[in-house]
Amino acid sequence: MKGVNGLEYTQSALVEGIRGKDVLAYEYMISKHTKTIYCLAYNILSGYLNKEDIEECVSDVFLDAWIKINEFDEEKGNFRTWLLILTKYKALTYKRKKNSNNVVDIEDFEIKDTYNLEKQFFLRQDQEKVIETINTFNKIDKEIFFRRYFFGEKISDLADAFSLSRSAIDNRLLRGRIIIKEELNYE
Amino acid sequence: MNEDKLIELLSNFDDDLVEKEVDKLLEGVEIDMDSINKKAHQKLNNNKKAKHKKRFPFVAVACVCLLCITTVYAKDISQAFKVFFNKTPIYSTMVDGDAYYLKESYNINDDIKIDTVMVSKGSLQIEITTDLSMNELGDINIIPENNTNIVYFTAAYNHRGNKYHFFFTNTKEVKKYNFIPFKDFKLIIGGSSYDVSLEKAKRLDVNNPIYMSDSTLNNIKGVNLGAQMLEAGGKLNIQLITAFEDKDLKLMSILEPTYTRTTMTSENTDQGRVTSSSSCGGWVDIYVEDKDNHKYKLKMPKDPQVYPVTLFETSAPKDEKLVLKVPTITVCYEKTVDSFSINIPNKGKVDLNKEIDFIYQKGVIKNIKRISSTSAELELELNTGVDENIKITAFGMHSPQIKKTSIIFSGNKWIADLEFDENIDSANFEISYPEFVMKGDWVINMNGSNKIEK
Repeated sequence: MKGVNGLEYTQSALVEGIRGKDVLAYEYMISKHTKTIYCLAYNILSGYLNKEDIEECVSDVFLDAWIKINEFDEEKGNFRTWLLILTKYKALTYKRKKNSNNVVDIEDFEIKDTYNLEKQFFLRQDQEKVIETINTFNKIDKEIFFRRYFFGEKISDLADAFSLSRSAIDNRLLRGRIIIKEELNYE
Repeated sequence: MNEDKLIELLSNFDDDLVEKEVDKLLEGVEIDMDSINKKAHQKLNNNKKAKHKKRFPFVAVACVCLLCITTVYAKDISQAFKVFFNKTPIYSTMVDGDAYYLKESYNINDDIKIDTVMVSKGSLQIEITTDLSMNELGDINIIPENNTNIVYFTAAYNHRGNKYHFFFTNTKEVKKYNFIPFKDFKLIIGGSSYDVSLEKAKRLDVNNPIYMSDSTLNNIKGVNLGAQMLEAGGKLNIQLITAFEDKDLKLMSILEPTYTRTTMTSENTDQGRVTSSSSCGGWVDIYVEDKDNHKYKLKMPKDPQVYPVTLFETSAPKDEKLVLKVPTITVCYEKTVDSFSINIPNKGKVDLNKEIDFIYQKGVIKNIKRISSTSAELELELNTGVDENIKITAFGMHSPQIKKTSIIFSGNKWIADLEFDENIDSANFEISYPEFVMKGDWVINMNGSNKIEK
């Protein structure tokens, strides 16, 4: 994807641009990542906050990324995953503020540096195979799968979102993992 | 294939594959990309504007400290004893009831060291050392382990070099500085959370004599002071203890700050209300005197760990009878004292002569003058009440209609510049948390005649 100025950034260039307080890099980050960030913020906040508030949350994430860019370590993971960590934290903060009693589930704050993953290269064909496999799941399983393993949403939240029991979510995820494992011939 | 492996795999998907899937997940959800883009840029611009000024919701205070002090007026020894029995000295201050503190400072990560933590029912403070900026530290919250339904928020901070001192608040209640002391808690800072464990502080040692001021001699009724002599590192330390009859009065400082010219601004922003006040120029010294009337200064700790400071070091002789003189203390009345509406004239000046009752003093809003289409000026005269020993030093003045209020203090005459939108012709104001310097001239004879012993 290109930014509004026709510029295209690699992840390293984007990170460096933001570190260097390059507004074009900021612009590019917004154009490239808004949908992904919105999707996670929407998952967490819809039902609690209106569209305008979700937009505020998403725009806060971009500003957070601009301010906290020095905390991002490219060796530890990719920039998109880091943005999703910021999104989750920001969305939970919004959710907490919305709650007039300030009651918050402590687990909501159990956000570790989950972007601190082994940075790995996966073959394009393997990625496509996984996507293809996930797309064979029924609509609900597919969404559960993606929200759990891409957005890192909690199983209890998914259970609430889909009106299913926790074990039903676990079972659907397990079933999916087995199918993918077989398709990829993974250990 | 386990969960971690799958998360790893999906996290490393190429962008185009992710974008396609996200599009599918967002089917039927309307996203206003332009609105988000606009908001993100507005926030960036606001951030740039704010870069050189401290921004924080509520209050950013320079020399101020908040602490809950006892509710009892110590009229006699036995009553005072009950009051002091409930006190807990902690770091360089004194609190009521149970309190917990951090035994040793330590690094929670590569960037942040926690130096001190103190929690009592009236105060929650943390001091950290870090090179990170306030923006980088982000939202700072405390969640007690024994009560995860509660989240405490930062209300104010001091910043000196790489030291940050945070004061927390409980916004859940009208009374903002009301906490349930806890031993273990989760600290949310810089976007991560850390478990912190505290030690319970020991109560005031009532086996060590406590000397009381003579409540019939000081100028301020209902406010009493006591003192204890302690020895630390071969030197004499004096621990001051305050007792207030009015439960809404809180000690802010034993030493009187010396102001030259003070300004106070309050601004309604996207981030909440931002208030700041000027730094004080220093402190008025207090002394103990020995039998030959030699004066020895009470020294503040070089780097106070918590506020208000009540523990002072002195070079006075340890084994002599001493007289401690405390001319003034600074207190805050933690309540809203008045609310009213003011019409803003289209042009010129209109006399108002509206009296404000600050409970311990009075003031008058003399007039309002239109300056421009978006600004006006309020003239206030303070300390118009009869008690000459109590002076107002600050107060909160907030209005939802006023974008920014800048007050310049000059003796008893204060000028408040108001900034607002063009279509505003009246504003509702709330006056709260006034601060006073009380000139009590307390005298504590540490010679045995007014000693409280267990």
